[in-house]
Amino acid sequence: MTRAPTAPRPRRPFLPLLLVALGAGIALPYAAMPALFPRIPTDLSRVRLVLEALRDAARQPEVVVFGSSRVMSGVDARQLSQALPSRPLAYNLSSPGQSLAESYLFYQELPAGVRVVVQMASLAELASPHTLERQKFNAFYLNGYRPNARTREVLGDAFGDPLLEILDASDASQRFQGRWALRQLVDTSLRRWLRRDLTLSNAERDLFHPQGYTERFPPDKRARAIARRVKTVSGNDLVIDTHKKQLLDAMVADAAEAGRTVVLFIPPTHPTVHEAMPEASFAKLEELLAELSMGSGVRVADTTHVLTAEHFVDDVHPTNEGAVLVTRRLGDALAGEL
Amino acid sequence: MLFYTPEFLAFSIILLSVLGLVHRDAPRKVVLLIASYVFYMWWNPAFILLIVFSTALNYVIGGMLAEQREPSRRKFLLAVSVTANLGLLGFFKYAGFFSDATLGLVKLLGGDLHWSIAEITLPVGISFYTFQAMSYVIDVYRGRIPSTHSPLDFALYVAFFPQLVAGPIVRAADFLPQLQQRIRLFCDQGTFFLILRGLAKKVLVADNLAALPDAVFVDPAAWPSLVIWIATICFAVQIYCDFSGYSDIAIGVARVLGFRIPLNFDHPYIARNPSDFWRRWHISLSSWLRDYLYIPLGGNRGGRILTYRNLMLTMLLGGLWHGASWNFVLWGALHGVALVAHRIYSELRLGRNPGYRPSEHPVVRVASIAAMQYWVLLTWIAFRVEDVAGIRAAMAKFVFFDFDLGLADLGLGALSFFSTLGVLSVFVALHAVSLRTGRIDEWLGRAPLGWAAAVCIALGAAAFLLWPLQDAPFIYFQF
Repeated sequence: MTRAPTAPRPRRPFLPLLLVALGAGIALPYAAMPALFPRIPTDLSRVRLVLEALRDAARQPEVVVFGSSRVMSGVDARQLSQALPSRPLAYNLSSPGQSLAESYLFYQELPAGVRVVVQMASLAELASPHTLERQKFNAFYLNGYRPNARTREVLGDAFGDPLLEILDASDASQRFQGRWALRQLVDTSLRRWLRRDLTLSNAERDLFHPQGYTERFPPDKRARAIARRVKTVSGNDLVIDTHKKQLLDAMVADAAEAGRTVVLFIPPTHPTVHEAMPEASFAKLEELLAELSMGSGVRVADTTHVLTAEHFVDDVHPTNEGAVLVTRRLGDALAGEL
Repeated sequence: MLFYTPEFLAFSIILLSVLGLVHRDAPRKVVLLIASYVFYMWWNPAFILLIVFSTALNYVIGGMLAEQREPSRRKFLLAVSVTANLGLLGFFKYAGFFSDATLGLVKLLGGDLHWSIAEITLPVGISFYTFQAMSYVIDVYRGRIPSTHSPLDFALYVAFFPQLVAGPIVRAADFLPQLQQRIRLFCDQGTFFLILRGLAKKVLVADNLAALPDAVFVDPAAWPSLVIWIATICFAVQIYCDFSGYSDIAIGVARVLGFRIPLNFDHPYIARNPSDFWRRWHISLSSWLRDYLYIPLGGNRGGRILTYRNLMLTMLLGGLWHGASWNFVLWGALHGVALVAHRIYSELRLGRNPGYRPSEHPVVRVASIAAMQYWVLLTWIAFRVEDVAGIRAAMAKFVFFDFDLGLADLGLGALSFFSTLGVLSVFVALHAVSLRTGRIDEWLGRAPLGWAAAVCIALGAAAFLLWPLQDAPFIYFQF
């Protein structure tokens, strides 16, 4: 081994130029991120669609429905509209894995014309400590969303500093975080190609019934999915999270203050999965909903037992036939309101 | 302090500025030593005492060995050094492991013994600097190098920060003579791209591949063979890029400071047989084990059986060097078995045909590389999966392919499965290019400035877009 050779003189002062080039390479996507992000198809592209729908002054809904993919599959907003005497414009604004906190982010964007907010309140969501993922809020932020003081206050009170830290991340940090979308572009594109049983693009364009499933799972695959779900829920006493309850209270209070009716929507549960769930947990949920519905302008649409096993694509998502029944029950809950 | 953090950037700027102001060699060495200690203390200041102790002990014993002519006393001094070094390593790294192993053995024999050892924090890089210090004393004992009279030089040899915490393991014979010459700061385009190459390997490839094996190997039984294969390949590339990326950065940073440290990797995944693999993988460790363990055990001088024993012992201890866990012992054992099997095979071929040379026919080359890498991948399962049941499940799925190819509905989206495959493909393509055209950093080192700038822009953009969503320290820090 020899010592480093006597340094040959560099041809030109290369280092400053290459460092500037490196910096320029970093600056390019940083500058382009706000313009680039909304154009990248990801699993969270629906956030943009929902925000645009709520900000469209020319076409304001009177009924909006929030929730997870269970609502995406289970509620047909067109059918709901037709079931109501005044035929109000109704939007299904649910999205994959939409938590209560994520729904609440949308509340500040609700146009004045919204008279009814249907909010999914499932036992699984209320019992889960999960609030809002950094990546999800990043999708909101890079689609132009900024939380107002009330949103910050309510979410901060309910979930404390960890959530405020997500909401208050700097613009530079949000742009840097937006890089996840590039990886998702690859994954989303390939999954679309591979999953022939799914129409994932529905989530990006459908404001009424963004049902992604084109067919039921084959029986063996469905049985596996149900078995997995049963394994997850059985034996676990689902305790309603006090922070979630606090948020639900605030959501109901906000709606009441704006003169809106809130419908707490309990999504359908697969009969086999329901059997495995501890009955005591449901009793607690019913107790909570009863307490909430004591307030004026709050109704409950419980569709837990509306569907049979045949009405499920897999272990949680209703088929189109199932959606007809679920939406009918939701319409019944709204009767007389619109 | 990790090489890719803003702290290290600030550290480097300050260090280079100070070195730029100091022109004489002795003060430059002092600055480098202080910088190395600061670099190390960034993790845990208290453990600097261990380095200082190891430095003092081995320096003093090295000096005494140089003056001592009496063989028995020389042996005694060597024994003191080796015992103290291995004792330190044993205490901090293996106390819990051997305690558990002893209790397990007693239980297996029907006994009932209880004790517990408080969890001991493993000092970062202890395996590396202990081996460096030991090699110095052994080389002085063997008369291969003179002892150094400069405590400053020796302290810098033990603690030189670019390779202190994760190698390459530098020999005193290579490093100490460099301290006798002028220390010149040096950076050319090639060195710049060598450092960038290391950073890209670590941050853009290794860290982006980590999520998949992390998720799959938590419960290998839950995944089909295809996913196990892909996760294993991802881990193989991850650990290579993680470790060789660190080595590239270490070599590049050392070169900027005016020092040469040895190559640690040379395309290990084109190795054709186990011996070839160990000439290409973690070269500084495998050559250390050869020179200070395998050869002192007798090497291949004691007949076939003893040679096989020595190979197995060397690889078992080499496995254990990686961590105090049975899965590393198994990993070493599997490589030991491969080395013994290859030796037996070579001896049989040579016995029949003394002029035997492996065929260079492309088909034979590809087949031998594929066979070797199949074994290497299998051994990575033992390295990566910690529990025995998991290793068994993963290896069974790896060996007995189940042809369950329905990937799309496995919930792989959450693992960024397809983009991970994309990163893997880009790496394989670049690796193939570098095999054909020579090292990319060297090529870029000679490239016109415009081309080099264009590559920097692309790398900057890639760094922004592919910077991993979660930090992952270098894998070899834990060893």
